[in-house]
Amino acid sequence: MSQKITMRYIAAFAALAGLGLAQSPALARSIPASSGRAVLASDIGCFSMNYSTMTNYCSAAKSFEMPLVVDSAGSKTVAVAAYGATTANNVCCFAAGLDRNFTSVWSTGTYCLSSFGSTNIITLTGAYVPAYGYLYANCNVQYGGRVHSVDWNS
Amino acid sequence: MRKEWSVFGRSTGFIMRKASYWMLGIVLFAAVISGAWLRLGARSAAHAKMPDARSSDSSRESNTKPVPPPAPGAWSIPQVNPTAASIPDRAPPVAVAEPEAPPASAPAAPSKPARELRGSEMADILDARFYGQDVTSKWTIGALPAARRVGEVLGKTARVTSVDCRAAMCRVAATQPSLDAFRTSVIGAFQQGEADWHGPFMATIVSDPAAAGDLQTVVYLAQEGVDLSPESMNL
Repeated sequence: MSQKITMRYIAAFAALAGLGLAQSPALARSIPASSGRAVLASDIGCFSMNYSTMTNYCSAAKSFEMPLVVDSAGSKTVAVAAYGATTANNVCCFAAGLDRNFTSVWSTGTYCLSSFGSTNIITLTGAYVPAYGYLYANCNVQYGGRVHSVDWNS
Repeated sequence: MRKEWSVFGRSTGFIMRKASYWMLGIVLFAAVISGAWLRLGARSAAHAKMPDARSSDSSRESNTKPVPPPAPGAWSIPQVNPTAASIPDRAPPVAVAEPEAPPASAPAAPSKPARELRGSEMADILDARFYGQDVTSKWTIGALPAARRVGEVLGKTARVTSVDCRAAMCRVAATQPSLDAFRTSVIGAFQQGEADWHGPFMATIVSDPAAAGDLQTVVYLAQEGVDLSPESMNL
């Protein structure tokens, strides 16, 4: 009798475990900033890599772009972890989703760091990736600004 | 008293306990496998193709600060008469009920399988949303000059046919001579920051991109916090 009860508990637990796994939230992915590159080839030398974070050491602001792999169509929330020591070292980012033919673009607004002296998260909502489309994040990095990583719902 | 049978020198109770442990392992393994299979099946086909997007300059000195999201209920304002600045190039579709704009920090809803919407379908949907809005708001006053600036930048390669702003969105329609011209103008206006627009936007080709001749295009500019994705319209 006790074995039957034990087996029922086991079966119930297994079913719940399977159900929980099946209905877990969408996959999240993250990449270090070193996965990206300067938009202009001539700006590549401006960015220095340190522990996979990327810092702009040129006096002018430079654009840095990171491809974000997606597993399914849908709206994406992108979070960029970045650092600026002062307002003169700001980092401003947007994320955009496109169809594979680049005939439609959905872009978030551009957001900048709002506090300085410690790593902060720039959250970008509103990028949409249609079926078979692609996603990227673009950051305009001022002198001394640093991009650490990006995470998003894939 | 029940008689205890033995098999190969082991009691039936011992064998049953061993069997239950094995069953536990098998059931858990099956649950994990079936869960993973169901999860994979629920996701749409994997895709991450890179088309022929070209690199571009981007040396904006933008210091845009986040703009507060629109006031709740901003989308439920009914349509009224168009303004003098409004020069729509297509007949306004029937207004539809607008969902409330989500907060800017709201997490995205789980993805669902989706087919590839055509640009004309997206434009129809966003047009219905756009023309369903009130003509003016506090946001519109500042947005209209910015939308005209976007039109000027797009006008470098295109013939801009209308620039129109409503309560929380602007609409810039243009005729582009080619697909490459459309791409170049979008990159220039937004990625290179020529248009100095820092809010969300959606740009698409309305006519058939493969057709010969000019292409009808439209750009929707939105107030911060306004979601222009099909998911926000329950598609």
